[in-house]
Amino acid sequence: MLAFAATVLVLAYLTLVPLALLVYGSFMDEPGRLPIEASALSLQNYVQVVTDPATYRLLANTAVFTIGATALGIGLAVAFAWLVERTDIWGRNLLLIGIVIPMAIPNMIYSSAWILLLNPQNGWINDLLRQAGLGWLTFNIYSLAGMILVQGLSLASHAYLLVAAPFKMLDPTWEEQSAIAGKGVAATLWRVTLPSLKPALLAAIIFFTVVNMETFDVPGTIGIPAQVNVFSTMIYAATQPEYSGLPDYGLASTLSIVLLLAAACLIWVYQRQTRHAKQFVTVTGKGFRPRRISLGRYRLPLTAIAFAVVAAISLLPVLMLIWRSLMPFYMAPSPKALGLVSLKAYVDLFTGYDLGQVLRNTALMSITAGIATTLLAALVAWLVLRAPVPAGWRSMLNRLAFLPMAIPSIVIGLSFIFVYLTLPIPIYGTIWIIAIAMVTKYIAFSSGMMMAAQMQISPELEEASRLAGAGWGRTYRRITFPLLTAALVNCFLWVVIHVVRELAVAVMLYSSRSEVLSTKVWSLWLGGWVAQASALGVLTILALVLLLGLPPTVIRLRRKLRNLREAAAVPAEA
Amino acid sequence: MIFANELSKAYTGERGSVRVLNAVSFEAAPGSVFTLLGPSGCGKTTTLRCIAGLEQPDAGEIRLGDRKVFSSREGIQLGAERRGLGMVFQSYAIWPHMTVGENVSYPLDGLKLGRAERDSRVRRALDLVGLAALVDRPAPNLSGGQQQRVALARALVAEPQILLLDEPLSNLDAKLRDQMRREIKRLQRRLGVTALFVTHDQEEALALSDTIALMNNGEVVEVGPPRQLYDAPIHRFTAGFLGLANFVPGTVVGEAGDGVMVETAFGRFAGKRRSGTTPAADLFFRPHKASLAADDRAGSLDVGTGTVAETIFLGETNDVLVERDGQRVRLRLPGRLPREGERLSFAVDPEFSLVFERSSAPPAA
Repeated sequence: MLAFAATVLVLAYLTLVPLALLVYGSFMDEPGRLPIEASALSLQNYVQVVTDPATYRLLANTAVFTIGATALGIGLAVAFAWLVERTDIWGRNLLLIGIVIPMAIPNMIYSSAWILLLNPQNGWINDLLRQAGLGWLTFNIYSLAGMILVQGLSLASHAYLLVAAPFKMLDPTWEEQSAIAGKGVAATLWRVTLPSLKPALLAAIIFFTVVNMETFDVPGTIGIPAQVNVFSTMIYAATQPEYSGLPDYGLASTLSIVLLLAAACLIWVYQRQTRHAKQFVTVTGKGFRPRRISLGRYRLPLTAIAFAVVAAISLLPVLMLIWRSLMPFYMAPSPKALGLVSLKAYVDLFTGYDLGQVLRNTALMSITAGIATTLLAALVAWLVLRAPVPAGWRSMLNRLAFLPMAIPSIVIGLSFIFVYLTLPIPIYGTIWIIAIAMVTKYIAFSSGMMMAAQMQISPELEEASRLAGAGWGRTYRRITFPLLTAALVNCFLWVVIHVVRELAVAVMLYSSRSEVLSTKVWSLWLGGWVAQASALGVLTILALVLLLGLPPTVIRLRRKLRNLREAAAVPAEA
Repeated sequence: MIFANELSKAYTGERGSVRVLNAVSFEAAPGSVFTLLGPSGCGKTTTLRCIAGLEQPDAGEIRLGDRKVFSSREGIQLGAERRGLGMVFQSYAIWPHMTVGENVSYPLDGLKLGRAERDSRVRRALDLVGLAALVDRPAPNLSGGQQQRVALARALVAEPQILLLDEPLSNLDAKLRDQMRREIKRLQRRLGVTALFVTHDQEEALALSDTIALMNNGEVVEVGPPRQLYDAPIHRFTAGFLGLANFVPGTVVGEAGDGVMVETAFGRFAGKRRSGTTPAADLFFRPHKASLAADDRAGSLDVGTGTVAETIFLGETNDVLVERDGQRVRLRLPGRLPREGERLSFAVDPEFSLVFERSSAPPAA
């Protein structure tokens, strides 16, 4: 089938071509040159990576950062999932909203906010501690511990969404049975609840380990000034002349391959884990009635602690960012400083920084990437599940579409530099190279989403259309596509939100002509324009909150429309 | 007319290949209801899907009317959309994002009809199934029976010569099923379409069909009118699959008219020989072809005697298990309910008794 072959080619172009150039580049040992210009190939980069003690420091930093952030993030997520989904803690809905707010905050902006709160010179929290005579408690964010803290807190919100579902669906009779056997709340949690959720938790842990291992935002914002490097920042630094003289693409490629292999191993384990997870079904569906555990005399203190933590995770950084965006220069929040509040930074953005261009770029780039990714994902989903080709071909396509899951963002950025400086396609330095790289970045997730949606459509609905005289094309257009509408809209918004958030891919590929929101905040922050960076951060968060609020609104609207249509149809019955 | 010749198909899975169709051949006469009947997994649905063009056989030939739509030898494989068929799916497959009218008018899209002609065709199709009033109703707001009717209207709107029905009644409750069965039959007669019907429900097959093809293990076992398959099956599988059956082990001891005489634990019976040549054979008769016999007839031909082992009162009739020497037969005897332990003689209508080759399977009782 033509569509099948075309899809395989497009996916190969999006993933295999960049990876091939990356491997080629790793054998090149002349700094400042691109893979295509290499005069001779050697193992020099590998020798350097293996023999340089700096590599082992890098490995150690990456490992500590990854493990620390995963432990903190998942730990918080599990604690909140249990409290919100399984106990009678007060203010569950408020807690839920609080815990998911960081979803709308790009990690680079989140890191900036925490720098404002915890930097050693004038971080607000550190200042307060010193004023209270608790100077020994001050915390320097420019450290591995600081990176772990910020990444862990941001992760908690993402991880919450993943671990809350199994907590919600856990059969409550298991816990009741344990209570009848004379076990208290803590013993039940430890001996029954957590072990029965082990497969789901393990999958979440592996997944977020990969995320932390490859993430660039927090290490880039906090680690680079602190001179604490991890793989992603080291790859970035190797390509930036201001850090290393000439861009050393060979070394960057070799480091990328090490990171890629580590991520690929974990993704492989993750796939095995989630495949086997089906054997440990925790949902019975029958006789299911959510029953909450009574916290008894711990109810009040635990509620207080939970709200304090949520305030620290969500409220504090956002408020700090807003405050800073309203100050022409840094002033600690106080009644006296209120007199200095001005919208100058926001005005500056539009007058002095060409924000219009940045917004146009961002909109064009994210909408294009969103549409392209969603359509390609829908096509992949249909081909993998329904195409009239041998099953072996279809599973190959499935694996090809899943491959980018293992490619770190920074590596996608690097390999795309190679591709478009090599191929005669003149999009280097434009927003289109960023858009295409984003398709590569998000095609795996989107394909998974669209496959889940396609599976919901009975094959007989498509077959009935073919019997009615419609070919594959018309069947897809008239039957499959309309039935996928809700999923397509969700997938599109999901991609757009992530594309707007994504810094690592864009930071490797942007130029002065193709700045987008994430890179603009990044360059303003690096340039010391803190108020303006904060203001743009606040605007970004606002935009993402609106986008995040869209899917539920769309669903509500559709339901309302359908109800209207039904109401209109009722008289026909009479 | 539907003509299938030597259709074969195998699925290749992880554990080698599984043969699902083995040289399936049949011919459905124009304007008739032709039924593929058989246990689940016998290949009847695969056969239907091959006719529809939704699956491709590995070998064989399919002709619809005078059109050849599939031939492995000539490399012909017409897509489902070009076969001009109507089909009702097991799940009805009503498109939930359309209204009833949009569902029914969909097959007319390719025909380039004027708006008036199109609307009148849709109206006529919906009138046929009695749903004209629901033309603007969104499809998700239909009951099971209404969905079934919409599916039927959609299958018929383009006036196909051939209608395919894949277990269309299996999702309906018993009462509605009975009603729809009559309605489908009435419609088919009125429109004169050739209907190919797939079911695992023998009662449905007997009630609806002009001709039944009984399938088992990917092969057509026997083809014939319902009455012939039920009363005078050629194959032991047919006799056992359709309706209740007794297979009584016995020995052929001589000729009787145009048949043979079989000695069983219950007595001697005459029957037409269907298969086998050895003296060891099984006597087949249906429980309701037996009747109570006067005691003085015990020992005469076609009369058996035994002890009542179990009785069940069924209303119109009684289900009686009669035992002798460890053998059992089931009888359907209306009237007086015999007592358990009572000695009972029964006569079997030799017209409907058949003799089959001895099977290794335990006799049905």
